[in-house]
Amino acid sequence: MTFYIYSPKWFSGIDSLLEIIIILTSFLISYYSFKTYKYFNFKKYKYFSLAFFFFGISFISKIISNLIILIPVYKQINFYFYSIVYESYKNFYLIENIFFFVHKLTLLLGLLILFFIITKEDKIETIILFVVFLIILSFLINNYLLFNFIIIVISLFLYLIDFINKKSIKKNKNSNLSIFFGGIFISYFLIFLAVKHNLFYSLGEIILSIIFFYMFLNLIKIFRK
Amino acid sequence: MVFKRNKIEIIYDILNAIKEKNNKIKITHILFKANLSHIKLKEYLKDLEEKNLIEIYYEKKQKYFRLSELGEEYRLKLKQMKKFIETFEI
Repeated sequence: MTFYIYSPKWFSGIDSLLEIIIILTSFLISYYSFKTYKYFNFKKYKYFSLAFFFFGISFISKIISNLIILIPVYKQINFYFYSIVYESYKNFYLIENIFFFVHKLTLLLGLLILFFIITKEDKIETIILFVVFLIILSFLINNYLLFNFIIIVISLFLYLIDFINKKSIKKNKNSNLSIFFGGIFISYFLIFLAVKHNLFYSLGEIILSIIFFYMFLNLIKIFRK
Repeated sequence: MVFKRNKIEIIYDILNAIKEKNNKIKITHILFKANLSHIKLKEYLKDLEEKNLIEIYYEKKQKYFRLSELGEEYRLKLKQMKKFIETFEI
């Protein structure tokens, strides 16, 4: 059974609008990363492009799955002088579950790809093992809170690995990628706290879109003539 | 730690060296800026000239290099990609 977190009423629909920023930014980063790979032939940018492409797909699926929950499905059977109206959710719940599965899988795959990039993992057996594990995990988790918790752990792990890597080669420790991982950690942590009060869900979503908007601004700076 | 540049990075360094000298640079200056051997540089310059990215001209019997329009466009694209790499350091 799927466990839902409900956003405050005033925030309904706004989360989907904010996620459009996330989707656009993800696809832009994916496009320019692929272009960079084409010019410089750095393979890691091909995979970076794929990771952000998955993020884009993930949030599209999330928007669709959120909208499906809100659709009331009424069916009507007409007799001669009266009609019976009833709610029919069967097919929509199936579709909602499919999109939720795609959302989980693609978000986790995107983070997994980033993990492989920053740890420079290139053994194909390890990669296949992790991907299979993720597919199974995405299938089994129907609890949104548990999924959130997994994202929190992964993003914290990614932030720490990136921080340590950059520190060891004396680079800027708080690079955009570190900020990105840190931002995902904070936003999903807040979304996790939505069990206490649904306001945290709105805060988490707002912070997530701010992080992606920040990445979008960086892209504008790069490509502004 | 020594980082080996790939072909495109070397081309960017050459094009940038020409641009920095306001499209009037001698081969010795490119050699210094691009950090290549003379033989390798000549190969690259020949390749860039064939692809119409650079032009050779003479002034007071001295040989100079400048970027063509295509070369300038290509340099800008490479510059953007390099900025992308610097922004998203992975």
